[in-house]
Amino acid sequence: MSLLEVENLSAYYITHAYGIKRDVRAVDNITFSIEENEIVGLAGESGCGKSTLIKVLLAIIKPPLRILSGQVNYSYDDKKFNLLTLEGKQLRRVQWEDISYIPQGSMSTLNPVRKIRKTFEDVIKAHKRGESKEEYEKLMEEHIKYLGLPLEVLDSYPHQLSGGMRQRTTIALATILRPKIIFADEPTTALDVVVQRGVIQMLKKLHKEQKNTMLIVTHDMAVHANVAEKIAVMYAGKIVEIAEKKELFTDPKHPYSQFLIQSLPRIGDKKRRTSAPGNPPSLANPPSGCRFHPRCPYAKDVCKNYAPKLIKYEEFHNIACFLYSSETEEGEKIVQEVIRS
Amino acid sequence: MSRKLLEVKNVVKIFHIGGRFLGTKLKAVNNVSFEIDSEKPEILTFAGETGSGKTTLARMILGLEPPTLGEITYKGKNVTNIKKREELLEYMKEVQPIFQNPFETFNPLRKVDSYLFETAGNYNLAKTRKEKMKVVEEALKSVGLTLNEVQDRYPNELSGGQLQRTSVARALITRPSLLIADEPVSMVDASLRMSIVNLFSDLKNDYNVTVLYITHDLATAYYISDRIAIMLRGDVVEFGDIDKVMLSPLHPYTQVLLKSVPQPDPEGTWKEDIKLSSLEVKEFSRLGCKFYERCPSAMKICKDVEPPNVFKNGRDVKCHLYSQKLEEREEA
Repeated sequence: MSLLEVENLSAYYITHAYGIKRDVRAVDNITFSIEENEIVGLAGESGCGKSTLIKVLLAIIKPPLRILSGQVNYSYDDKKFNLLTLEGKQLRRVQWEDISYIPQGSMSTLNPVRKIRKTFEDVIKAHKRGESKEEYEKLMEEHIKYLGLPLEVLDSYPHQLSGGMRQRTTIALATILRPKIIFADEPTTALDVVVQRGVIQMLKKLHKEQKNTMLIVTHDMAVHANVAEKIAVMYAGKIVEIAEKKELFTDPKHPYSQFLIQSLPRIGDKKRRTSAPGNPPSLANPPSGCRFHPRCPYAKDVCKNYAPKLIKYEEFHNIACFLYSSETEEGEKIVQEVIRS
Repeated sequence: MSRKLLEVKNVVKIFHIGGRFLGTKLKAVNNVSFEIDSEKPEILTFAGETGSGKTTLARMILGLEPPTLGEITYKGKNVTNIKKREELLEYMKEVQPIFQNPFETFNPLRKVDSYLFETAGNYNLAKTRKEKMKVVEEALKSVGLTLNEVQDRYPNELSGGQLQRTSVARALITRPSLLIADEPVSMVDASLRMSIVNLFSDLKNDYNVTVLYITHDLATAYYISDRIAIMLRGDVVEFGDIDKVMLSPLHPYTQVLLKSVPQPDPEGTWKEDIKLSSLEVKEFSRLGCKFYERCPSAMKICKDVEPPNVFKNGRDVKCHLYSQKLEEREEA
C-alpha cells in the first residue's frame, strides 16, 4: 500500500457571477500514488494546476474551489483514511502533524509583525497541548540548531532575514513536528542559485535523516534533476507523464515533456534550443481531447476528440498520449474503445 | 570617443538607510567601469545574487537614478544629469528598458495595445493613427507577434510569454541601439523561456541591437551572451569573455556560483555542502574583499584590503589571489 493514493481526483474553481458560470478545471481526473520515503517532483508551467493539486492533497479547500470527484487516501502507521472526508478536529490533527506544507513565497508566509519565535510557539502550542513552556522552547531551539540556522533567527522579525533565510525558516516551521509527508510548493523559486542550493541541501538532509516523503512542486527542471527520484509532468490540469528521474531526462516520451527537457540550456553547450510552439491553454476553456494537441507536432485526429488516459508504458513509466498507447495491450484496448464509440 | 556606445566610468552609488544622523551608508554599486563598442552589437550579461547591485546599475544607466560618483557617457555625451527635455527624449529613444514581471509591467485595467500606441506618440514617431499602426505593427513583427493578437486585449488575456514579447516590442518601437533587460525571463514559464531568450539573440543579429542582460540565471546567460560581468555586493568581481569566465572561472565567488547552478542532468548532483552568507548588510560594509567570510581560499590580506583589478587570462578579476605583487601581499 502506498503512502498516498489519489484516485480520479477532480477539483474545479466554480464561479457564478453576473449570470455567467465559469469552471476552471485546475485538477481534472488525476490518478497517481506516492510510495513511502520517496521524493516526487511535480513539474509544469504556471497555471497548469500544480498548486491547486497540492491544496486538494492537503484538504485546504475553500470556495470557489470545489471537489467534484475522487479520493485522497493516506495510509501510514496503521492509519488509513480518505483525507477529504475528515472534518474539524480530526482534520486539524492530521494537517501539519502528519501532512505538512511549505507554502509558496516565503516573503508573505511569515507574519511581519510577530517575531519568528511567536510563530513557532503558535504551531507547537496548537499541536502539542499539555507540554510546558520549557519543553517546547527546547524542541524549537533543537530543531533550529539541527537545521543549521543561527539561533538569532528566533528573535528576529521576518523583514530582518534575507530571502533564503526566511525560506529556510519556513521549512523549519513545516518540519518541526516531524511530519510523514511534506508538500513543498515552489520552495526555491525567487532565490539565488547559491541560496537555492542551500535550501535544496536542507530538504535533502531532512529527507535522509527524518525519512519524510516529499512532493516538490517547481517549474525549474534543473531543481528536479537534483532532488527528485520520480518526476510527474503536469499539463493543463492533467498529469501527462510520470517516470523515474533518469528515464524522464534521458528518454522523455510525451511530446510536452520532450519540449520541456530539450529546451533546457546547459553551461558549456550553445546549441540553439527551442520552446514548445503556441501558448499555454486557459483552464477555463481547455482544448478538446488531448489538451496538448493544438501545440503538438504529432497530433492526430484521435487527439482532437478523445482525451488519452494515463497508462502504464513500462514499469515506473506512465504516459498519457495516444502515440504510445497502441504499443501496450491496455492502450490497444483504449484505442479500440475510442474507435468503437 | 564616439566609437563607444556606452561608457560607464567609476560609477558609485551610495544609499542612506535610516535617519540623517543615525543612518548607515550602503554602497550598492562600487566603482564599476565598463565600455560597450558601438560597431559590434553584443549581449553583455550582468549576473549575481540578489542585492549585488545589478538593478541599481541598470537604473543608473536608464537615468532613473543619479550616480553618487562617476560618469556615464552615451556616444560621447554625459548622460548622468540631462536637464533639457529634448535631449532626454533623444537619450530615452536610444536606450529602452524591459522589466522583470510582464504581469506587473502592464496595468491590468488598460489594454495592452494602448501602451504601444502611447510610446509611438510620446517620442513623436508618428502623428496619425494610421502611421502609429504601421510603426507598432513593425515592432510587433520583429518579436513574432501580429497586431491582431494584441489589439483590444487586456493583460490577463495574454500568456506571460506573449506579454513579455509585447514588452520587448514596446521597447523596439523607438528603434533603440541599447536594450536594458532586467531579469526578462525569470517570470516567464519554462516552456516559453527559450523563445524570449532566442528573441534577444535574433535582435542582436538582425537589428544590431546591443542588449544589457541582467539575470541570476547563469544557464541562459551562457546560452546567449558574448561577455559577462559577475557582481558581488556592488563590486564587479570578474569580467570578460563568456567562454573564458564560465568555463574556467578564476574568482572564488564565480567558482562557487557556477558550482551552485543546478544542472538539468540526473547524474550531476552536488556532493559537498556549501556555506551561506550570514547577513547581507555585514558584507556590504566589509572593508576588504566582500567574499572574505565565505571564501574557501581566504587570506589575511583579504580581510582589510580591497583587492585590485587584475587582468589575467583574458578577463578582469578582482581578487588578491591573482595580484602580481606577491611580496606586497605577504608583507601585509
